[in-house]
Amino acid sequence: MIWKLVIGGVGGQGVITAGIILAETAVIQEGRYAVQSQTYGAEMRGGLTRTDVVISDDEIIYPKVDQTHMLACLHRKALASYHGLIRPGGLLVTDKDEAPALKRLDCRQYELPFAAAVRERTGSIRSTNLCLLGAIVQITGVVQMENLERAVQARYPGNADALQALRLGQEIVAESGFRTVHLGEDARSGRHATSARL
Amino acid sequence: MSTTQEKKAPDAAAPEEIQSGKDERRTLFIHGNEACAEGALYAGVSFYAGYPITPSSEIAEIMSRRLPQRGDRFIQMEDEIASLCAIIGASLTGSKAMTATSGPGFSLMQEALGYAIMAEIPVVIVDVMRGGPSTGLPTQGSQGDVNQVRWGTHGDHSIIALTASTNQTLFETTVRAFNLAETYRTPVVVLYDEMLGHMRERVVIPEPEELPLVDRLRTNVPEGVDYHPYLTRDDGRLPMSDFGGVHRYNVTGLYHDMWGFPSTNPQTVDDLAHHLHDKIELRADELAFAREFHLEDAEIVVISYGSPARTARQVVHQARINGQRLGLLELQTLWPFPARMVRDACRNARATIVVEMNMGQMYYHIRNAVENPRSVFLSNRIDGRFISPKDIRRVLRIVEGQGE
Repeated sequence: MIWKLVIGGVGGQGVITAGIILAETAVIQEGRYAVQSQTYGAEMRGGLTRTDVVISDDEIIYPKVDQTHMLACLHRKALASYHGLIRPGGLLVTDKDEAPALKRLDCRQYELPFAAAVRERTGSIRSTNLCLLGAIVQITGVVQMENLERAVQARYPGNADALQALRLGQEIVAESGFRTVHLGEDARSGRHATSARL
Repeated sequence: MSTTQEKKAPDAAAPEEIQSGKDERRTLFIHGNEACAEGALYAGVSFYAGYPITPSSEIAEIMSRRLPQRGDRFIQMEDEIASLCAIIGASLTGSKAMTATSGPGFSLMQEALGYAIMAEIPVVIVDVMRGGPSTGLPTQGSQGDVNQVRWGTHGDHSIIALTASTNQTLFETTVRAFNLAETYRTPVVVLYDEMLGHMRERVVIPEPEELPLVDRLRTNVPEGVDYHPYLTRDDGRLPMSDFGGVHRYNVTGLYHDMWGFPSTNPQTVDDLAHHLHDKIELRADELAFAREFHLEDAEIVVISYGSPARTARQVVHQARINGQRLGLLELQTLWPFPARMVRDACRNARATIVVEMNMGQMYYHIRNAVENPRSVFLSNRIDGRFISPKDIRRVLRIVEGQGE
């Protein structure tokens, strides 16, 4: 089974870090294979950034994502640039205020207030990327939530905000009433992941 | 970036230990530049001089922390010219020395590269390729330096250049680069592209001594007895003596005799020119490292190297599922050019497709190597984007007469 995910935003939002943590969880905590790559411009902040994450139980050959099971966006610029990557019937997870969803897209859309919720809970939007990550994992089950928490704790030891932001992402999804889609369950039931109707 | 790496290391060891008892191997989730740096550390690098440049900077960053921790040296130099000169000096005194750069910096290194070749000094130079010429595309990948590595420095010479397509093989390739540099007393270039440099994936660090390491062959000529730094042994090897140690000798970029002193004697010049060429070119088969996938009955052979070889392998993998007889030859040695290996792989193929991210720098060498040059086609991409399976399939369709 192979999962292909893309997270987009602008430089400084922590999009690439989120991709790294997700892929690292699969490799280090779960002993699976993952490849994480990114594209970005020469700017440190403000330029368009994108990270591709491929997670699989087997060796991954082609490292990039040409068609994604899920696109997550923290900025409208990223959504405008990358929405074409979503496979028909795939998932779109966006920040309600920073990247309003595009209703015309053929995909299951999760439009949630990540940045606003993180600001309210922690007083800063710094951990919005982790909040998004918590939501992505809650929605897709691409890795186990407790393993993701372990990876975040290892990376940010003693940082309560980080863990809180992660759990906030989970909560937001749970409270939104959106159905969660566990890609992993599809896999276990024997259906081919890439043809799973999400 | 390297702070991440530091934090990750102890944590990363844990699950692996649980799985396999007292296994000392560590599973890391690291990018290509980290894998290259880890490989160099495993190989025993003890001196690094460099000038940071995207997309290679993380190597300098990691070395600046790890080498002093081990009691070894890291120096940030004023530019790339000085960087290569510094590691040449360090190597002469007995260190395993390396530097890392990208195209613009590698251009500046060409003069010193020729010096290291001429004076037969082992060094490892990493070139993480970005789009060129000039400052080009700093944050995007390319394979535009392939021929620069071969002929960037002037004069007849030979060089070893290695590449890899995964972070695990990049680790091993870097270790191999140090081994070959020490074995043949020559600069070895580790060449890969930005895509691999910044792509993270699983790397299992082998246990100490799991991969063979070559240590420098040092002379056993005692102090007070004449030592000839350029007197070749029967087996073609040249034992070294740490410069500044017990032996006095000369090192020069001029043609030189067995003492290392300049010479214009035609026989001396001819012998040295042939020695520098032959010690590498006559070993082209021995130095030809590669990975093969489904070549045995392949009707169409794809040849690629570096990260584009992953795209090529994906296409071959999918084609096999569809019943098409495609095979892949993934080159890990670019120079000396593995002509015999290429020729053998393509002998029974209807067509050969070369996949690379430049305007055909390997393509022309492959055309020259095969029996039927007209059966060789190029699938490339030079716009900074990573080559996709679709790009290769488009060329495949044209080759098969199926149109675009």
